[in-house]
Amino acid sequence: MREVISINVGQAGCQIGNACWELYSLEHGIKPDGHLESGLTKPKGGEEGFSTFFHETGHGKFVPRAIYVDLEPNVIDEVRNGPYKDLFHPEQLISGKEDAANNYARGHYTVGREILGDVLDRIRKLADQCDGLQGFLFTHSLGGGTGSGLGSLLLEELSAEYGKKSKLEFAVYPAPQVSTSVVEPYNTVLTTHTTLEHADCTFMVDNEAIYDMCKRNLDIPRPSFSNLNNLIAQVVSSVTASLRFDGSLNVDLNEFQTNLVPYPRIHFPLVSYSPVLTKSKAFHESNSVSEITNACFEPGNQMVKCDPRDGKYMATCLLYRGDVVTRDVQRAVEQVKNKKTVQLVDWCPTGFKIGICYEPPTATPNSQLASVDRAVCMLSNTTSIAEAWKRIDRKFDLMYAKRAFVHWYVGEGMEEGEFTEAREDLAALERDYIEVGADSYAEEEEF
Amino acid sequence: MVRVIIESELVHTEKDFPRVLKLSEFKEKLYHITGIEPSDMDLVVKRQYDNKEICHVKKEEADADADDSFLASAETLVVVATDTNAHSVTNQLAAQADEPAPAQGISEEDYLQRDQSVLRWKMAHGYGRFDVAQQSQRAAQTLQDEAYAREQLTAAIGRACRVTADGRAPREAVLRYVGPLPSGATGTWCGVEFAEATGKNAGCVQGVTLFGPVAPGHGSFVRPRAVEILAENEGAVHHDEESDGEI
Repeated sequence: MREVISINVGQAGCQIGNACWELYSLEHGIKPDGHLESGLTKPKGGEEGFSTFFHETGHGKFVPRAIYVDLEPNVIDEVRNGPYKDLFHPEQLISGKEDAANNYARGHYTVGREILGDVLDRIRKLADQCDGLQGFLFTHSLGGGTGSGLGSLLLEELSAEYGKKSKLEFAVYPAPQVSTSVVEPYNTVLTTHTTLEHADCTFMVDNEAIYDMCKRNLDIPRPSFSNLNNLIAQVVSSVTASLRFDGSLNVDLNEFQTNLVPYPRIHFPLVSYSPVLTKSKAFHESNSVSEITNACFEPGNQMVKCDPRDGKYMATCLLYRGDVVTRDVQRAVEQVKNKKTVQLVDWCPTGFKIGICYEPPTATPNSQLASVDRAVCMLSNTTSIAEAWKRIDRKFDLMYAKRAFVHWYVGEGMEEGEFTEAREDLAALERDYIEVGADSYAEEEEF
Repeated sequence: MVRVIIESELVHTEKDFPRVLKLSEFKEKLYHITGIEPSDMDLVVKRQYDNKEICHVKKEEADADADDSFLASAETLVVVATDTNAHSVTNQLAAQADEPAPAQGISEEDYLQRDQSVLRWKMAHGYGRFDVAQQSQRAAQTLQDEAYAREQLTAAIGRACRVTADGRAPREAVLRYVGPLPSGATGTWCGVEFAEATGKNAGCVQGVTLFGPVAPGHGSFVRPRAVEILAENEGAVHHDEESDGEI
């Protein structure tokens, strides 16, 4: 048994959590009330894989190994009253009364700390139900108060309590143009500084990249958060598929770290996904293994806006699912390795990992996304993601130069020194990425 | 609950609110999202599906808490918040959004002081420029290249040669140039002209013509070690009619 506990924190984290659990339930043949779909005698995907994410209560009911936490009740009330209300044990849904007001300090120090004990108790209960806990999967935003503040507090606490268990994050990173709150740059820098040594691998998702994908590929003129979250869930599902299904070329939770993260601080792989197609377009595309693999190298399929052609790759992981044969995958991988635009860091070993899960992706009924026979999710540790840090650091500097809204944080007992300390850590992270890209001697032999 | 899309100069987000809410409470929530002071806030509430304006709360009505039903809608609403104070922090930030900001990096001294850094890791493991063996091997190769260029290639300009570079099969060419390149690449390079269009340029790099110019795609620059001068009677498909004395 290699169980994984999902922890969804804050509005974005909980809403993405909802989209993910809806998808997982569909993929494994679990009805919204936690019972098997009629006609099934056991969940789809095989005992071992399935039990990494679901716990069986013994009455034929299956419960997600998940926890929802938010400091305000609204979002979690929606789960409590929504179609999946019976899927979860009420104790898995934890909400406070007073929100974090988009303030990291409230999530981390004041309001968040009040419910910390409760949350850790509930996580302990879930952990006690596991035979061999692999680790934790966080979903939260870096920009919101609860997601950034309480999210990083939980990561710290889990490090202390569960030591070396893997901690992976799916983190909503601030979009380049529009913010979800005015102090997003502060929250992002503060939470990144706090979690840098506690998270093993962080997959970032920027809302703007997803927004553009919804508009361009899915023909949704004005994408809502739920459109965005459905697409994000599809990506999360692809990453977790090889953990959840038996009989696949498996990738364990700690393998993401082993294969993708050569040095602990450089743990932010770029995620790309293909195909993202509407039902009407799907009929006109063949979606061969080679096509979907190549599409992952197009900026339009990336979850964070940046240009990998400007960067160097340290490691790549291709996770296929559906009707895929090894021979096609090998051929596609050869093509990738020969791509001129894929420059590898040549002074340290670079990894190339393949995962294959034979279960095709599932489209939720209300999603615009077409059902396809196969899909691929690429995780690549490229130095180009440093652009994302540069962007947010610059926004932080503009605001901090005026000390804009710093009083919101100081008012919660935070010291200004934490701002400068966090900002310096991020500057060092930018410098770290430059250092990764430096010393590549694969200079062109001919030009 | 009503789903509200919140828009301001700096912010775009979605959030659920109770349908009955005091205006002052709503403004306080918006303050922490948009950064606009409640006393400067101008609000337009619209229905999302047809963009129809439901109400407009002007700045002057700041303290009017009488009406608490401005969010009483079953439909998704759009609330556009405007900062009426031209000198407010949010307006200053909005104005600066596209300005180039000075990069606030970390000094090399401070970076070197940090215990956890990629630099320390590379130093500890002898990676990249800290790989002593590889560095000396590269230095030796460069010396060899320089000596070979000086002693044999410079005198062989205009001669037929065989180029083995770029992981491709050997190609026959005429040696046209031996020397440095304008910038970027260090050391000595050889300019070659191929019989076929199997090269990368016309003898020009970064706008500087180093030989020729030859027909586009017939020229390339390679390392001295990639060039093997052919004996007078060997290969030589390609006669050197006019020595272009460009060097």
